[in-house]
Amino acid sequence: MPRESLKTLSESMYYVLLSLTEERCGIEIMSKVFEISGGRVQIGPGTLYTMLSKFESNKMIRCVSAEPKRKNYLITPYGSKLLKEEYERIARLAKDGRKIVEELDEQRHA
Amino acid sequence: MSKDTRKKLMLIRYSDLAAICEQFEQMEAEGWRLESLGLLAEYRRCEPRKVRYSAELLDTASPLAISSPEISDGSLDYIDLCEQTGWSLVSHYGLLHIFRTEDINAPEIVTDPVENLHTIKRSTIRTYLLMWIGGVLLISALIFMFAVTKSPAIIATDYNILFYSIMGIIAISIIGELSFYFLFWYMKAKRAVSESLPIPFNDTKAVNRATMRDRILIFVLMTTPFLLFVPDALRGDLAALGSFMKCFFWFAVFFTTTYFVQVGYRSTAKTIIATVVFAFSLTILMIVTVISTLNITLIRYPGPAAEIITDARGNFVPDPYDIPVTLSDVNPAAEKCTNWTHGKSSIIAGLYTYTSKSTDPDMDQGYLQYKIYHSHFEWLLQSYVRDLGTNDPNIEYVREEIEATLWGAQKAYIASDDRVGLTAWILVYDENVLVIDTLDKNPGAAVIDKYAEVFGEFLGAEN
Repeated sequence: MPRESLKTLSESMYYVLLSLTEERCGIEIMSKVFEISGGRVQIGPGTLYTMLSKFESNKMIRCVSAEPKRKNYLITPYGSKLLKEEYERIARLAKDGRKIVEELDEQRHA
Repeated sequence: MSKDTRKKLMLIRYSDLAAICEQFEQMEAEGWRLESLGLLAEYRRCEPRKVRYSAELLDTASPLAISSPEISDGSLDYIDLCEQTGWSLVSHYGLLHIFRTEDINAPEIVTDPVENLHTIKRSTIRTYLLMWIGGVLLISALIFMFAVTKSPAIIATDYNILFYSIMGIIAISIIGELSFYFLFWYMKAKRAVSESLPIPFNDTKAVNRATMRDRILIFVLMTTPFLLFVPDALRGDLAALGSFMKCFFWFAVFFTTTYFVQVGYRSTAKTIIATVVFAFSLTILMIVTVISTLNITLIRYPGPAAEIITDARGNFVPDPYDIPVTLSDVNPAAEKCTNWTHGKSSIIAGLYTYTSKSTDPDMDQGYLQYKIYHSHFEWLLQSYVRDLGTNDPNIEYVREEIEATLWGAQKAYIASDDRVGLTAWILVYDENVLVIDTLDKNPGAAVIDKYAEVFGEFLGAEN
C-alpha cells in the first residue's frame, strides 16, 4: 500500500525533511528526528533508507557528499516547497480544529 | 560436520520473519550463533548470549542471489546505515538479509509497518513470480503431454509420464500452498496495519506447523517417484530398475548442485564436474549395492520360442524374436514374417504391441497387430476400451458388441473401418484387454481362435 506519490507526507517523512534543512548523514538524521520530535518519533535505518531513496528519486533531497559508508543529504528547493506546503496544511488543520477542540475542552470542564 | 557447527533446514516464508528471528535469538541464547543462511541455517558454537536479530527484505538484492557472498551495490547503503545503528549483517539469502545486534535497545530497523508490509508483499511477489513461471511452464508441459496422449489409460502405462505428472502436481501444490498461506496472512496483516496495529507475523507455533507441512510435501515429492519404481525394480524388472536409477541420478544431481551452490562453490566448471562425478558415482554405488545386497536376478526376458513371458506384475513382455502368434500362423500365404514389438509398463498398467508383417514385398499378405493392455484397475481397462481408435485421425471405427463367451472373455466388440478395410476385435478379460487389428485379407475368426488358444489362460479366460 504505497502512499500516493508523496502528495501527503507521513509524520516520519515530515520530520526527515525537517532534519534535512541542514546537510546530514543517515545516523545524524535519525538523531535529529528523535531530538526535534522530543523523542516521540524514532526512525529505524531500514525505514530511513527507503524514505531517502524515495525522496531522492522524487528530487526532494539530493546527496551532497558521498564518502565510504557515509552519505550526506540536503533538501532541494522542490523539497523545501513541499515541506512548506505540508507545514501550511498541518497549520491549517490545527487552526481549523482549534476552536472546536477548545469548545470541547470548555464543555468538559464546565 | 564438526561438533562446533550445526545445520538446520530452513524453509523461509516472508510472513514468518519475526518467528525466524526469534528462533535465531533462542539458538544464540543456547550457545549457537547463526553463521550463514541458505536452505540450511548454519550455526557455530558460541557463548550463550542474549542478542537481537532482525530479518529484512532488500528490494535492491536479487531473489536469485542465493550463493554469492557479495552484497549488491544497491544494498550497501542500507547495510551501512544499519551498521551505524548497531545492526551488523550476518548473512543474506536472496532478498532476505539477517542482521544482528548485541544492543538490546537498538531501534528497530524498519519502524514503518505500512512500508514494511509493502516491502514484504513486493518481495514475495518477486520471489513467487519466479516459482509460478516455473509452475506455469510445468502445467503447460503436462497439458501438452496429456493433450498428445489423450487417454489416461495410455498415460498410466508410462513410468516417465507418471513420474513427471506426480512431480508436477506435487510441485504445483507446494507453490499453491505457499501462495495461499501468504495471501491469507497478507489480508490479515493489511487489516491490522490499516488499524495502526503492528504487523501480525506468524508465531513460532504456526511457523513450525507450516514447516512440518512443507517437510511432508517435500518428503512426498522426493519419495513418490521411488515408490513408483521400487516394487518392480526389487523384483528384478530391468526396465523399472533402469527408471529407478535414472530417477535416482537426477535426484543426486539436484542435491549435489544444491549443496555446492549452498556452500558457495565459486567456479561453475568445478561445480558441474563435481556434481556429475558425484551423482554418477553415487548412482553406480547404489546400483551395485541394491543388486548385490538383495541378490536380484535381472530379467532380460530371453524366453525360449513359443513361450509367453510375463514381467513381475504379469504383463506380457515383448520379445521381438519370439512372438507367440505371427501373421504366418493365421495366414499361411504370408510364409515368412517380420515381427516386432514395443511396449511400456508401469506399476499401474502395461501396454504391449506386437506387429507381424510378411517379408514378401511383392505380395500384400495383409498385416496383423495385437495389443495387450493390462491393469488391476477396472476404470483404466474401461477407459482403454472406450478411447481405442479415437486418437487416430485416420481411423473411424464402427463398434458393435459381439458374443464374448466364445473366447472366454467377459465382453467382446468388433470395430471396423470399411474405408481402409481395418477390423479390430476387442476382447475384455478380468485384468486384460486384448485387441487384435487385422486387414481384411486375414481370416478373422481363425485369428481370434488362435489367440484365444495361445493367450487364453494368461488373459484370464473363463472356461
